[in-house]
Amino acid sequence: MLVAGIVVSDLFSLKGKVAFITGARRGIGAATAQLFAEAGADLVLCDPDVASGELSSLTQKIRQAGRRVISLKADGSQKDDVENAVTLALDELGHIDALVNNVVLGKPGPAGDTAAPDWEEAVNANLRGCYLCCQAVARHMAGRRSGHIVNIASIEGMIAVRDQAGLYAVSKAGIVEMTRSLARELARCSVHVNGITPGYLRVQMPQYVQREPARMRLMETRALKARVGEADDIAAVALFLSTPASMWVDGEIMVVDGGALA
Amino acid sequence: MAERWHETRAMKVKDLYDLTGKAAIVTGARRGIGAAIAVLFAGAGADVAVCDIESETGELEAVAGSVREAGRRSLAVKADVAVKADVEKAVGKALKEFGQIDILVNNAGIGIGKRVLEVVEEDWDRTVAVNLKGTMLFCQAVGRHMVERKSGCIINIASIAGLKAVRESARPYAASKAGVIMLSRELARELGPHGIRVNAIAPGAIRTEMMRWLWADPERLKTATMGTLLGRMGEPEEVASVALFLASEGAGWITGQVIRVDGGTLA
Repeated sequence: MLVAGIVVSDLFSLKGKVAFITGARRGIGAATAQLFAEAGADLVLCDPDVASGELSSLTQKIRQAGRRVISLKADGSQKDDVENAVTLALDELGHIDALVNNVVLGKPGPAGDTAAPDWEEAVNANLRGCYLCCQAVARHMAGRRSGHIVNIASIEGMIAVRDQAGLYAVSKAGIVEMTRSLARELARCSVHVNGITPGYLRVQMPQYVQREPARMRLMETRALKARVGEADDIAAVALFLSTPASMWVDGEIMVVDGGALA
Repeated sequence: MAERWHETRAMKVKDLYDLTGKAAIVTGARRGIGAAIAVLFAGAGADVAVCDIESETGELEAVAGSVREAGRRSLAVKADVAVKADVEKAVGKALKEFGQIDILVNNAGIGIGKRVLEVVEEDWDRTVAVNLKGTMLFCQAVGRHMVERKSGCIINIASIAGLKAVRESARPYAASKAGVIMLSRELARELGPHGIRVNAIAPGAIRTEMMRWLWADPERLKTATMGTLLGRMGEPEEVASVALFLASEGAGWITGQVIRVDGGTLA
């Protein structure tokens, strides 16, 4: 259907595009990979953990659906890993149109908790990893004067959760601000940079949310009571932010939390 | 739970962002952002009732005509959103025609270009009546129906002027749009338990009649759009595609949010 020069089905299409997704083996990354493939994209899937077999089974599944997929072991916090991954992606697939940064260090905890990950670990995985990937891919996108970057942070990077003022939140807040700054920097090159701050999702529930009263309270205050959020809900927003539908959205942080922060 | 991680819903892109079988009302729909939303929604499969205070110019009927050309039902209704009886009549007509309303887009708005010290009482009253009270009246009338159906989606068109004070903005307009943002958040909380999502869109400078004073003046336009993507203004269709996203299943976990559509102006 053509409406005022817009083909509605093109608004959310990635046909002929290549998407680079980090933290892809499961959760939000895996859901995003599958949806982007369905939208027509070829994919580069990175994850530091390939031993679990999750990345290779995801890769197979998407290849069976007819898309080209490169999957590789890459630690986003290691500059060599990131640059190798980008070089390989460009060699094999020619270009990168969308980057979804989904590096997550899933061990949040209060600042005073000595068992929580230290500064190096938390900031390297979440913030440095996100930065390095943005930098490596943005250089390529800026040269082509086109591209969409989506950084996945967390609502814990936007508000303080009692007893959880840990490095996880600090690093996620860093991603939020980095997203805004990069958007400003790259606007002149027509590269879109946006962020998503998910609330607590079903996939995280058993990990840590249910064990912690402050997080459970925040989860329970959400406006949409009938269900909990799924990784798919985040993937659907990531696709919006990677397609022409969001042509005029830039430097925005989309809170996707069922209304917890309304 | 590990096994769940690969069990994503079989999501089809064309279903995620589709409005087939939905019925929508769009206010302030005779031109600009409202018209773009009405026509795009029709292209995505929705029946659309279009409302406007001005129905004599033929513009509103033309928008309804475009909706019909897309193969959807449409209805053009003259209504002053600031008048409760008008709002209830418009909603009643849409319900009679479509049997249901799934999506409400409150887009009607006016901007009176005065600074606070220059504003006369009438400017203030009319701006707040149309932009804020009008939004509330429509939310109320359609919200009641949505609560009965336990489903629905409301999108209120605010403005980046409601988020940050900018030199060129019309002050009562900005205050009313800030009100629209908070009204949207409050409503999201109130209606969320009934399965209804409420969000706001905050457009930046968009090429509409309301912003003609800006785009008709090349020097001013250059300064105002310096920080945006591509250094240009946004187009009504670029706001409409965000409204379509928010109205669709793809935004199923988003409520109580304000989405800036400003090409990065306030990044």
